Amino acid sequence: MRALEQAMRDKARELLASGQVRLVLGYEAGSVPFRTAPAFIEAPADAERLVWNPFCTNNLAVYLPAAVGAGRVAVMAKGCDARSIVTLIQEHQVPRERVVILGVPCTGMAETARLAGADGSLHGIAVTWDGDGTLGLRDADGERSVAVRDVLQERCRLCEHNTPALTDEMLGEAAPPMPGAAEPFAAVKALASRPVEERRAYWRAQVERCIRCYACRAACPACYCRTCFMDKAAPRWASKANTADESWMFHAGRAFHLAGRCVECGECERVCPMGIPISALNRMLDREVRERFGYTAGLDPDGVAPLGTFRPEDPDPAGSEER
Amino acid sequence: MADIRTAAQQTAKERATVQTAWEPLIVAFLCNWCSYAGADLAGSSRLAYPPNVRVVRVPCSGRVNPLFIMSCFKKGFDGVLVAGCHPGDCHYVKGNYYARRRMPLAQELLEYMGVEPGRVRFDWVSAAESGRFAQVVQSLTEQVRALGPFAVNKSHI
Repeated sequence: MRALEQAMRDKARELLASGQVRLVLGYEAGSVPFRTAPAFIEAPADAERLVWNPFCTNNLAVYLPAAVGAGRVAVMAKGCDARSIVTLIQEHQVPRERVVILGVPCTGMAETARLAGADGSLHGIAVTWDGDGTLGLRDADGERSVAVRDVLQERCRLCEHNTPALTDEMLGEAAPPMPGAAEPFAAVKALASRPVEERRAYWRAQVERCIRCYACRAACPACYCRTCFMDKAAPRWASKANTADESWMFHAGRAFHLAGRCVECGECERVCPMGIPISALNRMLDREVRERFGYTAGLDPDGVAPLGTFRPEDPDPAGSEER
Repeated sequence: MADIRTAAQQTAKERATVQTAWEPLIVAFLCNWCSYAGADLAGSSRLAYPPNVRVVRVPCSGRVNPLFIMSCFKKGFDGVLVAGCHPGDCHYVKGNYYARRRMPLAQELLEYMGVEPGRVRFDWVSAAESGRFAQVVQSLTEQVRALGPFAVNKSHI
């Protein structure tokens, strides 16, 4: 992994110095431990700022549509990020020739909440990474090690595409599969099997907590509409009132707008300040799309999302055979 | 849509002040060329069907945005019908093919979020199928009646 970090810096420096790109998107040290920040590297000398560790969680594809306007952009792409980039290419938001995809094989990002001390806080904890699979934590109570594999973000644990699909260049060897990749929809199936009244109460309780900060929308590379349906006044799909009704419209509507397009990067859920399980909603539709149309988002830049096409042999709605 | 909202609010007031039995309120998005014409034929043939349906005429079932269906439930309706031309008969050639992918996905999402199966129906009704229209509305009304008023979002009541 240290080699990967060095490869990132070397590649960034080379691409910028040669003028092949005008910007490199990557990760740099955050303002606190346990965090990195998205890095916007324009000068070859700044390539030293790039880092790679189990806290490089942001989906950098979200910055691409704006960034490619001024020239070619190179981006450090984990598996999920690369799939987002493919979706953006499919939807003509990013021209293929304007982006240099530097594939980063990923063994998963750490769930920072699970690294907290006995008091539930991350405050005062120093963290080191051995460049492989172990984090060292040191606080007032002493030192402890934690295997990254034991504190994975759920969306990483379930990831089926942790080695990027489409790249211009891979910066490392293919990564081993993630532990939960064989059962990516276990939680969705469990919730779907609950009685409908229970699901109604569950989602009502979840959307009630929404403060409509739209952090989920801002973090999502697939949400690039200039005017979101929630901000339209005519037709007015939902008011600005922060009631459960209006928030329900937001979550139901956004989930549907992502059907067949979401790559399950999990950033929406991670950035939600209220802990709403947004990816439980997105994943449900991803499963439907996969089962009905055999389609997974972000794998084929020449593909068409399933709702943008049809087949004459698509199944008719249930019950419509009655005459 | 303003008319429909007023009707729903009036019905809510009636429920609150006058002890009227609850009647399902269902919105039907009917495509102009097939299902709306079928409904019209049912009417001019004096075929009896439940009065619980409020019709919204759209050019094509492919025009129906899933947000319409979500809006109906947010506003307090109890059921939604979307009816279009049979596959192959779409006036705009392929609008109903898109609807055939879009509508079942919308139904699945709503069901996952707690809208009981049976409240949203997507079906084909041709311009000649007046009897079928009446039968579809009859069976949907009975299903929704059995399910009761749609109860998810009552923060305004």
